[in-house]
Amino acid sequence: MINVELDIFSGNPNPKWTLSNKEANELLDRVMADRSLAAPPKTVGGLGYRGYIISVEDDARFQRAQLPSRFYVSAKNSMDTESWLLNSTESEKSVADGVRQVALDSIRSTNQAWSQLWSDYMQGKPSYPQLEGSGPTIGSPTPDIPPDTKPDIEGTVSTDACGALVYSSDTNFSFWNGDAYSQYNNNCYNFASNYKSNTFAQPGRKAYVQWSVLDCGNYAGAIGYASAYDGHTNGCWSGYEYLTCFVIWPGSDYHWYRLCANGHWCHKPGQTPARNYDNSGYWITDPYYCNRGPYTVFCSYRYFPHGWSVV
Amino acid sequence: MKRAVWFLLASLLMTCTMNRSGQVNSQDTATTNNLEEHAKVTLYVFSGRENPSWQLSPEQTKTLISILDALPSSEPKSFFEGLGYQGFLVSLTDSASGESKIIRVYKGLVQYNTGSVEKYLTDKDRKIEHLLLESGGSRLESGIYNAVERELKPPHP
Repeated sequence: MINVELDIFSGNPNPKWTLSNKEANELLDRVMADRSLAAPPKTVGGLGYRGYIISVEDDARFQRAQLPSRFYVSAKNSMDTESWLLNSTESEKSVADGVRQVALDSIRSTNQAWSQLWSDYMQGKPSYPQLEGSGPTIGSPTPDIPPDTKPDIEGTVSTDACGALVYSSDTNFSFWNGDAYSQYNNNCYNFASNYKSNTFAQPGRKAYVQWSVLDCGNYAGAIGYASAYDGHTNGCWSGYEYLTCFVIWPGSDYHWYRLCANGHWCHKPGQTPARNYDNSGYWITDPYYCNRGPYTVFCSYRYFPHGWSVV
Repeated sequence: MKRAVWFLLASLLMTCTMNRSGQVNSQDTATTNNLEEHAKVTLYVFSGRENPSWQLSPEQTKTLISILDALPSSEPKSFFEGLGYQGFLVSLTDSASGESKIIRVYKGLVQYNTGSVEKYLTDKDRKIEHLLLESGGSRLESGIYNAVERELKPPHP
């Protein structure tokens, strides 16, 4: 018997179902064709869709193939297999329509965004990546891994999975605040991407899918979807990433943060100066719990490759 | 004859005094004589989206300048704005000379910058912020207008 658990919730139990005999055979074929599908997860944690937990019970076929009795099909591992699992027969009874849509959108957007962007990069298209306009970094020292203090967030940022996490100074913001033109023409999204476009960058504008809905979601028009096309995704691949996150002021606006040195998060509220403190004047060690003023909805953490642009 | 001389001297004295006062006014305040000024207002409220901006009418511009003229000076201070309402920025452009002055106001603190002069003023009753919010009127989304209006209310005692 092969059981599937959709790893998507943080507080509620995840949806679970059992594969049919035919589907179990197909899963075995897929795993035998690509053993990496049955590897331990490369990234752990994050809000929203994260992948599938596969449990094998008394199945001689899987045992003969010397596959582990429990393995993880991670998000962004294989769009085809991830989509197939979501559409397996019994899943219809276990996965609510809204949850299914979120998972499908996440699978499609992250994998589409990355496959297209990677394809563009490999073809040497000039827009990816750009270093001109990129803000300073302090290299990639042994990263400070943020402590996992949030009961709804699982896991921590792993350097083994993501290579180097890139940081800029948590006190020197002269790149952003040093002249009026830079300060007035770059917003929170520029800062979070560490890229000074001087265009007051908007999520998705670079890829002609600019956001239009103030929502965290991974569907067309939402901030989550649009920013994924720019490179702010749920997983890392370049080996040289920033850690960012975004929040929403319901009905009004969005805002982004970026992890800087010493475990401090920094941000730039619109045209005002970049800074390392929240609305109460305190260091930001956790954007989930800091004082975010009217930006009451916390959406998710994202990775963004160093040197990539936003417009 | 003596009366005529005294009258002439008094007239001269009054003229000098008036000129000195006029010169002091033009140095210390936003008022300029015989000039039209156009004012563009930007409400600093968003972080990701573009901030809303609009032009003041000539009457509103005159009112703004008259309020500025009457404000007392303040020590230089920093604006401690954060997420949400962050104040207003007014760009005053002299239509004749093209010179610009920048006025930044937040929570009753006014920073007035002509490029060569930077002054700080105190607007205890936040008259400028009220004037600017009203001038935005229907140009502003109602949710934003209401949010800023709440910010401008005096705190409960």
